[in-house]
Amino acid sequence: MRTRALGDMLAEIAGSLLSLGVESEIVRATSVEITLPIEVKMTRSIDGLILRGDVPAWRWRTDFDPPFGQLRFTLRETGQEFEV
Amino acid sequence: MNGSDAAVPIEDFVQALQAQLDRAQRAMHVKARNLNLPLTFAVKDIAIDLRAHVEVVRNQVRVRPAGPNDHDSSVLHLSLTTVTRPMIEENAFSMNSTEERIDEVKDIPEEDRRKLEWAGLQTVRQLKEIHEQEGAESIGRMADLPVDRLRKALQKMVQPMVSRVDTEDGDAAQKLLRIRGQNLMRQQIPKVQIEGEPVSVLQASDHEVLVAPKAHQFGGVLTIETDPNYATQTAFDLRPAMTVAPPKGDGA
Repeated sequence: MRTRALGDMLAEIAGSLLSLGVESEIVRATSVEITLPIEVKMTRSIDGLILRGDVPAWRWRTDFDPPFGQLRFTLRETGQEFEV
Repeated sequence: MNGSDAAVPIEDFVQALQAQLDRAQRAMHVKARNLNLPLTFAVKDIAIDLRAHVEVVRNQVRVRPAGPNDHDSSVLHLSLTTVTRPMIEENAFSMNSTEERIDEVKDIPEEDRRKLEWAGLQTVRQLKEIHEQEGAESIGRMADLPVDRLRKALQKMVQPMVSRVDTEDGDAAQKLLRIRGQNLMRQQIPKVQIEGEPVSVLQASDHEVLVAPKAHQFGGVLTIETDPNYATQTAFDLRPAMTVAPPKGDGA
């Protein structure tokens, strides 16, 4: 499995949480903390260095797989006016 | 990237990590807008434990992610948080919007400009100031740039250049010359000569020099030397402008 760019992986996880903010009128998640094992690689492209980080492809490690790193991040609810 | 080629400067690594966070934030913003959601999630804090080898090559810290069977690697712990626009503005140095930025200087290759910016040098004025104070070697060490290449670019940037020479009325009906251009003064008053003869300098700044030439010095080759290694020459002729028009009725 190709290791995705770290930003793509983060966007997919955060994107899957979007409905948490709107579907309930009583309880709403405003902050989510996530800790994941990740495989980290660095590749070069014409745009420069790309940091690739993705969840491990397999549960079981082999001698051919690099060691896991760990990624912890907090997603917080924000308005659409949030400047990117 | 394999083997020793895989090691990258730590600032490149952090820059790449920041780029990925920006990419994630942008993707979330677009997705929420496309789904017409009033709220979205944004990455606020992030920490990464990276199993890697840390190397020091020519005073530069480099990291190389651990490969398969790398049991003796280190753990590099990086924590980042997002900053808001007010925080950026509070910590940014004041910069005149008309100032020439380093990324506009074509004499410096793009990669070198990027390294200078990462080293905290944003404008040409800052670069010139630090060059005057510390020299090209210090900048080269700070930004990890080849000193010879940097010195050549800096020499071009601080080379004096004359764009315009005009006459101006001085005291006691004495005509003066106002010389306009760039880099016309460094640490001391520049030496100005016209046809090899020295001219008195009344005022000098980076963009203008006011001189008091003698009557026969309103044309010829103007030389401005700001430093033994930095001089420029310009030919000019303002003698016709100095000629007094004959009164009407003279002659035939």
